[in-house]
Amino acid sequence: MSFAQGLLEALTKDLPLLYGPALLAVAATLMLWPGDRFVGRGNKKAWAFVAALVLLAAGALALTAPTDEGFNRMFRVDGLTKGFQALCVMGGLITIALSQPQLNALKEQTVEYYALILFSVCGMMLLVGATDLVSMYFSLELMALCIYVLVAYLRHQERSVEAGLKYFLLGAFSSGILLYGISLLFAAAGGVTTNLAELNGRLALVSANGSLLVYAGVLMVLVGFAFKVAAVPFHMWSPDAYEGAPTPITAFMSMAPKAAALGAFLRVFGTGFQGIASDWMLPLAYIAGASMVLGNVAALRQQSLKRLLAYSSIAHVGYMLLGVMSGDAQAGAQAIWLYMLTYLLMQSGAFAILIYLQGKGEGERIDDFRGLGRRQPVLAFAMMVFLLSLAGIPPLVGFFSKFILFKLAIEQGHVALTVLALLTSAVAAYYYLNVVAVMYFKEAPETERAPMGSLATLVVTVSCALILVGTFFGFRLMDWMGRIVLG
Amino acid sequence: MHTHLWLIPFLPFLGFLAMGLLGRRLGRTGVAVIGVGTVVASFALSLIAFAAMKAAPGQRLELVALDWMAVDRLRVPFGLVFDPLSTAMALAVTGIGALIHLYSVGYMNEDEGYPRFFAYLNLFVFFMLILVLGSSLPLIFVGWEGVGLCSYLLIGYYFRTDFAPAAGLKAFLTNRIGDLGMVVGMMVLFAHFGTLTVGELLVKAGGLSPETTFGVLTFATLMLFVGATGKSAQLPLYVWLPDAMAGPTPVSALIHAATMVTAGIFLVCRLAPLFELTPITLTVIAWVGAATALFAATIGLAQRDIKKVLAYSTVSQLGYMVLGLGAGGFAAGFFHVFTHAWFKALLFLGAGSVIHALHHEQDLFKMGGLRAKLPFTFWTMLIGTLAIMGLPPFAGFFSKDEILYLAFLKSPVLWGMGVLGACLTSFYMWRLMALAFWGEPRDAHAFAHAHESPRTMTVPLVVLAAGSAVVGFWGVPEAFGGHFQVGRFLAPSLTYGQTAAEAVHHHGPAVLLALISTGLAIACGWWGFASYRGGLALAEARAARWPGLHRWVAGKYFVDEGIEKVVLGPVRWLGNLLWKLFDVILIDGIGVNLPGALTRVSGDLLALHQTGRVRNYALLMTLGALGLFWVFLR
Repeated sequence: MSFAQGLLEALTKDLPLLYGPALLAVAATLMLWPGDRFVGRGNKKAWAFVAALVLLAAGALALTAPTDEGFNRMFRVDGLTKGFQALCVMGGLITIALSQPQLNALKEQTVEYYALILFSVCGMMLLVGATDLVSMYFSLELMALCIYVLVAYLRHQERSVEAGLKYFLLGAFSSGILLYGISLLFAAAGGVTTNLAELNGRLALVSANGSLLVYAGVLMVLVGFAFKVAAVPFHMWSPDAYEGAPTPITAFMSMAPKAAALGAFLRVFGTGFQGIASDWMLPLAYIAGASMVLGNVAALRQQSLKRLLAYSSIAHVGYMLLGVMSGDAQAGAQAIWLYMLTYLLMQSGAFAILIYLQGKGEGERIDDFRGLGRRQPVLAFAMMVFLLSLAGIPPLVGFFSKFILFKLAIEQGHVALTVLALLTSAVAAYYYLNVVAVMYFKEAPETERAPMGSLATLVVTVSCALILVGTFFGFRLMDWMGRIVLG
Repeated sequence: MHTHLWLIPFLPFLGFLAMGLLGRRLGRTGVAVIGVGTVVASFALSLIAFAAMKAAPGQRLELVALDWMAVDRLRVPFGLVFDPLSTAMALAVTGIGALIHLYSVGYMNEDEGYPRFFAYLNLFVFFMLILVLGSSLPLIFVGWEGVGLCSYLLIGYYFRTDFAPAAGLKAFLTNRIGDLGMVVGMMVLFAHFGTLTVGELLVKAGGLSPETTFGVLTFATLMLFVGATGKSAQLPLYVWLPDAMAGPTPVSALIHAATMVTAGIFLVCRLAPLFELTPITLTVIAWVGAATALFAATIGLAQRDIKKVLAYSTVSQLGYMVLGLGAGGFAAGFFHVFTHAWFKALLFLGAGSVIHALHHEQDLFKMGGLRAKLPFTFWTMLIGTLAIMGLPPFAGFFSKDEILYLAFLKSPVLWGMGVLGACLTSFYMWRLMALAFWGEPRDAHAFAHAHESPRTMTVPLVVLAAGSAVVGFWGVPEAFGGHFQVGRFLAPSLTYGQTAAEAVHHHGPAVLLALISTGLAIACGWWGFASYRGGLALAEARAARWPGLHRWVAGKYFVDEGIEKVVLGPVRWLGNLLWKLFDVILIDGIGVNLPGALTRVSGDLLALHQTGRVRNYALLMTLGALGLFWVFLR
């Protein structure tokens, strides 16, 4: 059998695993050329439609992919992959739905914008299925590079360009650390494999002797991932990038890449490096604790809602890391997935409203929400639901996801950290409720009402409805979803 | 099969929802139709249920919709029970409720809160039916609290005045004290029997030997009776009821005379087999009842507000019912609930009609000579007065006589107190009649404008008057050749399958006792009528002769002032202390604001590290990684 034949055979055997991301990559490329020959580059509606359609198709392909491992054990489709791929696709779809008014107002080009989103989602979908440190690194970079560009997409705005550049520089820095860590682990394991499962087995033997090499390697990989999910103390890029990026991209960053990075986090630490858990558990606990404290406390004094949400997302990541630390990988993955799903709903709704207000020249500052309760009671009510749910106030769905996560953490013996999580949640309630108070109890001069775009309305309605439905079915619904998707 | 029975309580609830949510959009006619219609429909269904119960006595129907609470040992179904007691009570609630709804259509005609009023009234009927029909103590308690809530809302209905909301609050708070007793009683029963379903409770109680459970049962029943004293306005928790007259008059008639205040008596009847096992509790109940009957009647002698007189009269009559229960005559007590509902509702609605005619004048001393101007009101109220004074063959005679007879069997002193109370009742009722309808008009202006009330108001009066005249025949005592049918009808509910402790009836003194008490009542009635027929001169002379006594009685023995000084003062002082020391300084200050301020300051400090410079960020990241490395090396 010739080499070409073998390659072809391997590809055709394993390709079904990658139909979803492959479709994204091919479609995004075609959109850039020759797609723009057929549909005008400025035709925002058409491009949004095409991108959404492609994303939907990719999502469907990903969900129906066979459960298997392939490409020389570099990529794996299982419940975890599918669950987090679904989250990434949802994040992408929501972003596309929210992007239109912003792009219209800024008169920016669009083909590239949507193509970049598709490419980055492609990277995310590969990332959550990657079972080898090398394939993981490549998908991570594919995802990140697209996002650097998207953050700096408003090239006429200094703020946006600056944010993109900062993010890029720090991202490169962290990538270097991550790559160095991978190389150390590769060396420590005898220089024969980068496959997670094999690496785990070999490292466990080495690490029994308390190897500095293993620890340094694991720690650097941990730093790399902590940077991607914006956990303290590797979070500094996120408030600046969140604030500077076009708001739909801010929403995107707080949803899809976060879900993907957490999926990879779970893959590497939750299920991968279980054999050397003693090496990374304590640093991770510090990172999680510091994220909860700093994220929540720093969010207290923010005047800009975008920055507030950036800091609070740091805190939410801190909570979710509790799930990574769970000894029971399956339960941890389920809890994180549920948390991420509900977070996605609340976040998308909040951002939809934020973007809408921004379209009227307001919305960045918390003060712009003054009197929203009187001016637009329905919208304010929805915003209140999102914020209360984010704060984890029962009986809203955000409470259930927090509850499941914290309960798991206590069962796994992380009591002190859970107490810290609970205390910092109380701090979080303050700044979320503060926005609610501003909406309802502060007067504002009457301004004219612009109608909300139909897509944004759809996003708000659907997420609000899902949160309220989740409220009534709570555990049962979430447990069920966790089982179905993550199996 | 029996699903239509669920409609009995839930029809008024649907009415409440419709009126509460749609409110003014329904229009006055819409509100009136829904308000009256739902209660009338529910009355019709109750009537069918009652007829079925009459046809096959002793049957008991329990409907369970779902498991309401299921925690560990606690199993509480959400269910209704239909037995003679509950259907009879449901009939009274919906029947009188329907009449009073109808009456309100006229009485509240000029009020702007029309939909709100009817919504509350319907909600009240719903909760009252839940209380009556509930198959478990927690569900009964839901109704119990619900009627308390409605009572609060309706007393404070004229919320723009000062006194009405205050009176509502007083009623609510006083009731809370009783409710606490009821909750404690429920908890003791649950701890002891492991169930709160009335049926299971009574079966289990019947199976136990009295000796082993005596103490627990006595405590539990006493606690439940504390609850009953709150709702049924017995000493010492009666203080809220007279003030409750601040509400609209139909409310006074429906809630604070005919239905809600009898909830305590109903509760005791519902658990009668339990109380039967505890003679100590029964004795306490009897004495509390007799004391209340007498005490409240004396206050009624000197009130000037027509509704206050009737309010104290209600307290006094409730005392009779409680006395009946305590004397072991659960059926007799309930029978008095039933007859009293008719004639007291009648008297209140009559008083309402007078007040309506005089443009909200409630002072008896400013009335007079209204006999000719308000003929319907006069004649119907006359029947009510004859009924309440216990003149045969009106309704009050039979029920009151049966109670007094049982009281005599328990202790002649109780009988004496009861008879004295009856004499006073007769006196103040005739005083009221004489002041309102006889003599010269003392307020010429109001008299000139007085007019008979509209048809929607007089029709209920006539119906209630007819009822007051005849319903007594349902329970003609055996001493008078009757069969005390009400007792036989209720027996299955009151004995609950246990061997009935048949009271031994000595027919000998019964007739004699009745003659004595009725004779005395008539004499006192005449005395009261004669003293006030000619005006106020005689009364004023009498008050001047005994100024101290008059001051005490007219001042309601200064009970409210005493409570203010002895109870409320210290409680307020303590509350103030807790507020200023514990709440403001310790909890708000050190507990909440201090950590809050610290957190905020650290938030400000933390924001400093966000310099906006990439090189600082990279440095901090490196330091962070080194810090984590240090964790390992340490």
